Formats: sequence, structure tokens, C-alpha cells
Amino acid sequence: MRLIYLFFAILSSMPAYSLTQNKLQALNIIQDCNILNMNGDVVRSLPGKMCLFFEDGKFISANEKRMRLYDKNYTALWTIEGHFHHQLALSNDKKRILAFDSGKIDIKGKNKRTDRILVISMEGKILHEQSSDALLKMQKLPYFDWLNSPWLKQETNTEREISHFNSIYEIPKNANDLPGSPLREGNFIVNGLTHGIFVLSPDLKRIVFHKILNTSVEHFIHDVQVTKRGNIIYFNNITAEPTQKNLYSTIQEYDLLKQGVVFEFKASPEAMFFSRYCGAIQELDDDHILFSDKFNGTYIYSRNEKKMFSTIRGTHFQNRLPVYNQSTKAQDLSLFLKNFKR
Amino acid sequence: MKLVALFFVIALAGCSNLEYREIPVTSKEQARMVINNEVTFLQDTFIQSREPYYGGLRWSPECLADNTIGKVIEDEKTIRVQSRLILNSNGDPGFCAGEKSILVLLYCDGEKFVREYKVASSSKKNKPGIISCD
Repeated sequence: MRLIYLFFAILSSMPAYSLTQNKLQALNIIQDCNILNMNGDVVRSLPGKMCLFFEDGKFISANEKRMRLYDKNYTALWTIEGHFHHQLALSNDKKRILAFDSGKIDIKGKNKRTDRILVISMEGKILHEQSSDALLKMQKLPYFDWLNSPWLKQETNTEREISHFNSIYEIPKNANDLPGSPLREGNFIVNGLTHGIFVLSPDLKRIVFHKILNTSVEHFIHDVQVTKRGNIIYFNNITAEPTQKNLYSTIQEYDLLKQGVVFEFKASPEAMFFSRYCGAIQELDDDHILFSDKFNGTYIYSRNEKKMFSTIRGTHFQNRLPVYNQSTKAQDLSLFLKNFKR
Repeated sequence: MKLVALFFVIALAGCSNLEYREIPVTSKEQARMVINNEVTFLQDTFIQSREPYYGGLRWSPECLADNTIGKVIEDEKTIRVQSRLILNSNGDPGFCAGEKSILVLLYCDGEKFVREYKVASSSKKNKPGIISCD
């Protein structure tokens, strides 16, 4: 009897940590269209710059020319032409695709790149769309006039861009999903670099809420999402810092009602974690946050233990080349890998 | 006795054949589709692209040279494509480091499957003409 008691005593004193670790080890990392294991080794490399994978072996692949749904045998089921950029995401019911395409606007005889926000059905039909120039006009925000990189010029046939939208998610059920709150389930939260966070109605036509966060220098922010606690969480590329000498990045959770940061990850010293561009983030559970920067790695951080759970460098160095990461996410892809036949 | 000897000759000949995976098809038409689809998959996988802001390449020139996708050759009796690829330990393409291999897809007229051969380039079995319908 004592032995049994001892056994249960030892069992109960073991941290739940090991269970979580097993769960995390079962995940895969998606970096662009590469699938990695949690050790950072690429296990499959599929066509495209951005991919979404499904359990039945189907996958969506998008690049600067088109978006396609492929079946498990790599037969294209539909195609949408377009300059897709930054990220793909699924709606909460996993039946709609959320994406950014590029558009053009003529300003004084010169074509400039704009962003198109798209909600697409799984049958490849564009259900809702909105343009960044319309949103900026509605909100009376100035266009910016950024020079495009040589590659972006080539891809879009534009010299400059007026906006730089970089993340879109459907707002899930959350603690602030209350009448009158902007964070209603089914609205979309869209982020525009320097232009702020927009909460849009489910048809994308109406701006429900807009905010430029003063926790970031010029709202240099990526991958804005709503947590189930009813806050927003994001990768803050350039965290406001009075002297501006030692720029640093943070992962922040922000309470829109209290107008303040309720959680923050930063390096020590702060300047050791800095990514001027890009940045992806994902809450894996109540404790662990996955995030990746542009140049260095993918990290899984334990909020409870305030320490790094895992660091995955393979996302940033593949095929003997450095990889500049735009979007990194974790997902259990065991069924996709089993069912995909190529 | 002669029959026993013949059996051993056939068995030995069988052992020297390369193993292949059978991809079921119902017709030559479908076999052509399967083979063309595989070629498209490989071509799409190795499309060169640049990261739009820093211009980083997805594939190094050396890697693309190590992964060359063949052309589909078809005659009355066969449809065949042979590619030189680097495969990972599961035999999947899309890599720059690993086993240099030959991937052959072969359809022989009348068969109900496409043969998929994966042979390491260094293998003694990798001899011209060994993969055929004969």
C-alpha cells in the first residue's frame, strides 16, 4: 500500500511539462511551404511560397503569381491568379482562406502597389475583398510612398507601394466577444505596417475599429491576433524606446480596453532580440508561444516558466542557404504527410 | 531436373531486377497523366524564387544542378521519364543534401500500373538500360 502511495506521490510531483513536451514534439513547423520536424529538419519541401495543409492530403499553395488548391495526388483543383504575399490563414471554421493579393492604383500617372484583402471559399471563389487604399481613405490615413525592392518591382510592375498589410485573422471566441465590443467573433483583424490595426466586419466592407499602437515605433508590427483572453498579441518589431539608440523587438499582449501591455517577451539585454522586418507568432497553448524573426530562428517560449522551451534554427537555414523568414507556424501534419501521395 | 534448374535461373534473374513501387492506373491515358503530373510536381518544387525584400534565393544554383528533371519520352510501347534528384531518407524529393539518385517513372504497355524506380546514383544497379519494360 505504501508503495502504491509512493508511486502516486512521485507521479503527482512530476511536472505536467513532460506531457506538453510530447505534445509539442508531435507538431511540425511550417516555414513557407517547407515542413519541418521540431528538431528543425526539413521533412518535405513542397511547391509555393505560402502553404496551408489539410488532413486529407490536400494543400493550398500560393506564390507571387497564383494560388492553387491541390489534391493529395498533386492535381490542381482550382487556380486564382494574383500576387499573393505575406501569409495565408484559415477562418475559424476552416472553410475559408484569408489572403493578401497586390493591386495597383494610379497616382499622378504612376502605378503604385496596394494591398487587396481576400476571403476565399474552399472552392476557389472570392467571397469578400477589400483594398488598402479604400481602407486608408475611409480612415483618413495618408498613403505612404515606399520604394519597392528590385524583386517586388519586377513582380508587381510598380515602383512604389502605398501600404504594407501583413496579417489577417478571423477573430475567434474570446473573453471580450461582447455586444458593442469590436472583438466580436467573425470580424477580421487586419494589420497594416505603420497604418495600424483594423477590425473589419465579416464582409470586409466596414471598419469596426482602428488603432495605431503607441507601444511600437511607427506601428512596426506583424502578425496581430486576438487571444481567447480577449487581448491582442503581436510581434512588435520596433518597440518604443525613448533614446532610440538600442532598438529591440518584443512579443506583446495588449489589452485594448485597459490600453496597456499585459505580457511582454523581450531579450536580456533587450537589443539582442531585434527583427526590423517580418515576424510571426502563434499561441500553442495557455503557456507556450511560438515566434520567429526574420534572420535568426524560431522560438518556443514558456510564459509560466519565463524561459525558452525550444529554439529551432532549421527554419532559417535550409539547403545550405540562409532563409529569410516571413511566416512560421506549428501544426500537427502527421495526417497530411500520410495522405499526400507525391 | 531440368525444370528445377530452370526455376533457379528464373529466380536468379528475378533477384537481379530492380525493385519498384507500383502506382495503379487503369489505362495508358491515365499512366500518361500520372507521369506528367509527377514531372509538374518536381518542376514546381524547384521553381527558383526570391524573397521579395532581401532577394534571398530559395534554391542555390548547385542544388538546382543536382536536381534535374527529365523529359517525358513516349513511344508505342512505353512512357518514360528519368530525373536526377537528391532524395531524403524517406525517398522524397525537394532537397539539396542527401542521396543523389535516379528517379524513373515507366509505363509498359498493357500493365495496370506505372513503375516508380528510385536508385542511388552510386548503386551498382544503376546501369544504362537496366530499367526497361523488357
